[in-house]
Parts: sequence; C-alpha cells; structure tokens
Amino acid sequence: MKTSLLIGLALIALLVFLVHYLIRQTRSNSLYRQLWFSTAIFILVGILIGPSGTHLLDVKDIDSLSPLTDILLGWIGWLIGIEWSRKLFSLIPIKYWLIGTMENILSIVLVMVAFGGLAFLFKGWFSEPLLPEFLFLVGLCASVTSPRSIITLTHQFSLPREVARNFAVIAHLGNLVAIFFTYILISFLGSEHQGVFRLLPVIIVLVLGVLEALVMNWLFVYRRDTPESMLMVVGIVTFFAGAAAVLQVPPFLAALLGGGIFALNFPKRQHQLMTVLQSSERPIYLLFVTMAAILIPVKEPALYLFLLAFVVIRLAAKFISGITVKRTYNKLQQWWRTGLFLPQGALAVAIALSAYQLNPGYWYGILVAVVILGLLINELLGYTLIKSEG
Amino acid sequence: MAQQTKTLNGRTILQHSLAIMVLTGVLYVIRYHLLGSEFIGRSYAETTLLLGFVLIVAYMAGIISAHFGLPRITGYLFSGILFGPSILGFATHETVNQLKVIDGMAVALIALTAGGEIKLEELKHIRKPLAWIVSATMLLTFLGVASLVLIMSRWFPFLPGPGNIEQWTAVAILLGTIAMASSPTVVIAVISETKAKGEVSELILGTTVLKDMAVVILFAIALSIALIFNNPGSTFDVMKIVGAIGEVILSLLIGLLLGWLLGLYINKVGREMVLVVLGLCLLVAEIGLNYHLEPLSICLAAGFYIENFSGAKGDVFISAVKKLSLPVFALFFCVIGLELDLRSLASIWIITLVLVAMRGTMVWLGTVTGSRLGNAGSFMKNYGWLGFVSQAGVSIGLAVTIGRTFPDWGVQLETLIISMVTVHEIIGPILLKFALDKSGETEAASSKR
Repeated sequence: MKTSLLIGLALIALLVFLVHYLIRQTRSNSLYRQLWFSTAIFILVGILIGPSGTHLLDVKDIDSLSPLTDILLGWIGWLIGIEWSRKLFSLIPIKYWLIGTMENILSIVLVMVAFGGLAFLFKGWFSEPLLPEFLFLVGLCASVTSPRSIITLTHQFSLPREVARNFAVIAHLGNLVAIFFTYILISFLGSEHQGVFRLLPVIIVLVLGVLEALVMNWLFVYRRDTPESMLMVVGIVTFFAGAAAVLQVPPFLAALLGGGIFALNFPKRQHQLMTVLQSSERPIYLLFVTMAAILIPVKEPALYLFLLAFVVIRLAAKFISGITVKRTYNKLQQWWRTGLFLPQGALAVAIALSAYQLNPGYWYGILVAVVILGLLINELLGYTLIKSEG
Repeated sequence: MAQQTKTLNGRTILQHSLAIMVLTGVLYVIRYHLLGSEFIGRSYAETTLLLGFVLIVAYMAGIISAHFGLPRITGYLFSGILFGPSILGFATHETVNQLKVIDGMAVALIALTAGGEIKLEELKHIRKPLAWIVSATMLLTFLGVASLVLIMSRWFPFLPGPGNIEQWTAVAILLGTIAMASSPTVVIAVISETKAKGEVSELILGTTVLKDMAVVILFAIALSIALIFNNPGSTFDVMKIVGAIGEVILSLLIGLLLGWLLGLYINKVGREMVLVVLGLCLLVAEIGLNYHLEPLSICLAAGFYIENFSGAKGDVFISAVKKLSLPVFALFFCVIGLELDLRSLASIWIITLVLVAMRGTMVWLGTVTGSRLGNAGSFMKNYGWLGFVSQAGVSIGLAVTIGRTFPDWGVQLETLIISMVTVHEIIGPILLKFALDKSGETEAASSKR
C-alpha cells in the first residue's frame, strides 16, 4: 500500500465520519432516511476505493476479493430464502399469487420491450448487440421490489397495516417469480453446454441447495448470545459459496435455494436460524453494496444513460403494472401507492452480480452498476412519490 | 462445559458425522475429480471452499475439545493439522498461503480484544508482580536455554564440529531470545473462551503482552550480536536496535492515536461498529505489512485506549470486537494448524523435546521467583507458569528471519524453532486452561464453587 493510498483511505474514513456526524446533527428521526444515507455512504466508499476512485483496490485486488463477494452473496441468499414459509404460502389467497405473478411478469415484459426498443433504435450506439437474455436480465432486475423497504416506508408514513401487509406480500410473491426466472436464466448464461446439458447448472444449484439445507439442519445448534451458532453458519455459507463458485454456478442461487428448503422443511428451527442470520444483516448488506459499488465505472458515459433509461422505464413499468394490480384488486387503495413498489433491495443487486459472475461482459458490469445506483434512486423515488401525495 | 456435554449426545454425533461425510464428499469430488477440468470456475474459489470446510471442522473440533475439558483452540489446531499438508493433504501449501491473508487481520482483532481486556485500574494493582514476573521469566529462560544449547551444541546435526564456539554462541543467543517469547494470541483466545477473571489471568495476559514487545526489541539486539559471532569481521549494528525500539514505540503511538480516533467515532457516531472493526483490522494489517510495524502492538494500544479512556460507549465497541472473535479465533488457529509441519518435528524430535523441557523448567522457575519477589498470590506461584508455555506467530516470524540472515545454518535452526513452536502450540493452550481452572478463575470453575 502506497502512502498516497493510505491518505486516500484516511480521507474516506473522514468522509464517512463527517457524513454520519452531519446526519446525526440533523436529528432526523426518519429511519428510512437514515438507512438511505447509510447505504449511500457505503456505495460512495465502494466507488472511492475502487478502480474508478483512489485505486486503493485495482483489478487484481478485486479478483482476490471474489471469495468475500461469494460469501456475501451466499449470506444474502440465505437471508432471502429463510423467509419462505409453507404456512404463510398456504394462507395467502390464490388472488394474491395471481396479482404478484402478474405484477412481476408485466414489469419484466415492459422493461424488456422498452429496452429492446431502445437497443433497436440506437443500434449504432451499442458496441455489441444486446442479446435477449441480457434484456431479460434487465427486466428481472427491474421487476424485484424490497418487501422490507415497503414495511419501513408504510411505517414511516403511518399508512394502514393492511396496506403494508398487502404490498409486502405481493412484492414477496413477485420476487419469487423473479427468482424462478433467474434459475432459468442461468442455464443460458455462461454455460457452454448444449441441448439438455444446458440444464446442468440448474441441477448443480439444486443439488448444492439441498445439501446446504441438510448440512445446516444437521449442524446448526442455536444458543442465545453465543457466537458459536454464528461460526457454524458462516462456515456452511462459506463452504457452499466456494463449492458453487468452483462449479461455476451462482453462490447466491444455491444459498437462496438452501435457505428456502431449510425454511420449508424445518420450520421449527427457521426462526432460530433467522435470528442468527439477521443479527448480521445490516453489516452484511452494507459490505455487500460496498463490494458491488467497487465495480461501478463512474467514468463511463454509458452508465448514466443506461441508469436514466433504467429508472424511467422501471418507473413507467411499475406504474402500469401497479394500475393493473389496482384494477384487479380494488382493496389496494389509491394507485399512487404503487410508489411502494419502487424501492429495491439486495435481491436486485444479487441477481445482477450473479449474472455478472457467470458472464463478466461489459454490459453485465454496467448493469451491476446501474442496479446499485438505481437502488438509491428508486428508494428515493418511492419515498418522494408517497410523500408528495401527503 | 455442562452444556457441551449435554449437546454431544448420540443423535448429535450421528448428525455431525453425516454432515462431515457430505462435506468431505463434496470436497473430495471437487478436489480430486474436478480440479483441472472444465468445471472449475473462478480463481480463489477453491480457497473459499476450503475456508468454509476449515471453519466447520474447527467448530466441530472445538466442541469435541470442550467435551473432553480441553480448550477449543486445541481442537482448531488439531483439525488444521489433520486436514493440512502433513496428514490428509486436503489443503495444499498454495491454498494455505492464500488463507494466510487473514493472518494480519486476525492478529489485529485478537490484539484489540486483548487491549480491551486490560483495565488501567487493575493494572495498577498488579504492576509490581507483573514487573518481577516479566523480568524473572525472561532472564531465566534466556540463560537456561542458551546454556543448554552451548552444552548440547555438539549434538546439533546442523552445527559445525567442536571448536566453533563463536557459531555455537550465536545459535545459543538466538534460541535463548526466541525461547523468551510466549503467545498473546493463545492467551487471549483461552481467556476469552473460558471467561476467566482474576489475578492469574490478568498477570498471564499482562506478562505475555509485555514479553512479546520486549522480545521484538531483544531479538534485534540478539541478531546483531549473533552476526558478530558468526562473522567475526562485522560490527555491532546500533541502528538495528534503535529501529526495533522505534518500531515498538511508533506502533504503540499509532495505536493510541487510532484508539483516540475510534473513541471519537464511538461517541459522535456510534454506528456500524462491526464494519468499523473490520475496516480497522484491515488497515492495521496493511500498515503492519508495508511499514514494518507491529499490528499486535498497534491494536493492543488502540483497544487499551478505548477500554480505559472512551467512556461507557467504549464497551459497545469492545463487545462488537468480541462478537467477531470466535470465527476469527477458529480460522486463525486452524490455519496455524494447517501450517504446522509435523515432518520437521519427526526428524529432530529428541533435541526438540529436550529444549522444550528446559524452557518449561526455566519458565516455571522464573514465574515462581518473580511471583515471590512481587508478592503475587499462591495460585500464580503454583500455576502461573503454565500460561507462558504457548508460542505462536512472533516466534515463527523471528525464526524465518534467522533462516534468511544465516544461510549456512539458519534454515535448520528455523526448522528446530518451528518444531519447538509446534509442541508449545499444541500443549500451551491445554496447560493454560488447566492453570485457569485450577486458579478458579474460569466461568466454569467459579460456577462450581
């Protein structure tokens, strides 16, 4: 590490400190705003330490940090998967399943069509053709919504509990659809196999997911306030993230499936494991966005154009799919509350990053950057939309 | 302990066995059937796989160790030895080297924990016995081991024959100096695990930390003297000694500065502590690596400052550090186990055991003498020496320096030191836990009373 880089690191630390201090000085009691600022700071730190910033980490360093990215992706996969619940799924009326599926598929299709149209209109501008699987991936990333943010937002604006529950459930179900499609997509990304062998990555993910859930069930012992449970969980997540990476399948998807299988089959232990996983959720999430933000090529003009298109098209898609939801199910109050469908969380970044791991091409890198920056903009948009309606 | 015994029943053993079979199976298939084939993906992926395996196996070995009343770190070490290149060979030297990346960070975190354990008020009460024990153990260990080397030198296979008293003296000085070192990382790991509190644990921790700093300085002096004995034409290098002292002082000052800055952060911001701890450890490890400073001393001073001068919120920080400590301990000691080379021990085990016995005797004598002179309690007199047996990272680092500085016989001496460290590393934690249990300072012992 050179002296200039140490100074760079010190400046970053100072920046983090100052921004945190200023947020505290504003005495804002808005949890949503605090979380947003916190995420923004860590994204900024990621950009600053990456090749686009102070060069604290160069391409070689980023490569050597890939185990950490795999582990973080695995952890996030478990965090999402562990929330699946057989009891909850059976309680959700079929109408909600339909609405969730429809809202998500509509968003994917609209985003795909719009981006496809842009790619067709500005053919010369793209250095390489945007393939259908890439467009599908963009649609997938745009379609997911963060149920956690919906709950924080509804709490922030003291919206009725019913609204929070309905929207969170629909978002959750919509995300399930996106996850299903992501599994399909991995068969087409980065796989050199042909014919039926294209399904090999999906089978590997399935096998790893089942084994991960089984091993977790055999080894996980919950002890309150002891770090032993944490050690075991870290070990299992790390092992299977490594196995997935070695076998060229996304660690995120294997872990997500593992978490889901565990949650559905061992419901008695689900809550205990969730406690352990969630005890580190915030640091893991912030570290994850920081790591992903390292990849943001801030000097690329394409990033900003893509970002603008992504945000606008997603807003329009969510607006249209939201109206459809409202028309289908009238209890979902005013349509403006489709602003609740705007916030995005770690799932979108994880999908984009998993695809980038399989296919580290130029546009896939840009998409990761767009989704991370879009995370901040979409959260802010959702907040502003709801606030503007009083 | 009781909890551990209860959890290690037939069902648990069956489940753990099944899990380990699945994990070993996955690792085996990947390691021996897929490596080198088209299936293998990104670089470093194998390291991640091994890292996870090491953590899981270390966890299980820790439970088994605790079941038999041994410290968990013994389990971590043994699991490392078992799966390392010496026995089963699941980890290659290359992957072990990649895992070593966490060494600096782990030492920094362990030192932060250690610094957080040292309370100024308690330090004031034990300063007299502390000073006597440090002086007596270091002096007697040096004299004992160095004398034994001089007496035994004709049986050292790598040393020149009779009449080469200069080289014998050089080896005696170096070996005597390294024998003085103990392992603060082992001490803090066992104290954290057993939640020991009391005079014996405070004295053992304080003595080990002070000895560690002193050995860094004394080694620079010993190395300069050894060079003169080895090459009669060369002169005493004062700058080397000044440099070593400067390194320790600068490390401590940087640590205090970091502690002050962290105190400011804790009191003014106080958020995302776990990430701040990780960032700090990474920074200190980098500084240590690139500026030849001691990550251990830096973090020790930082932890000490936070615990004693950052007000009540300092405890929040220290608890964030402790939250991370178990996975780091498991990983750190397991990697040490992976690195231990049993083959070197096999070839020179007689000399190694003789030296280990002499060092142990001198450490015992030094502790008894120091405790008497410093009016320490009877438990310290009787059992305290067991806490100074362990050796680890610093000793290995110094051994590597010897290997590089004296190409004629340094490498063989390095092997001898590493085999001594291997023995100390294995028996040290067990002896320390025994001492703390006997003194009644561990949580388990005090709950029995």
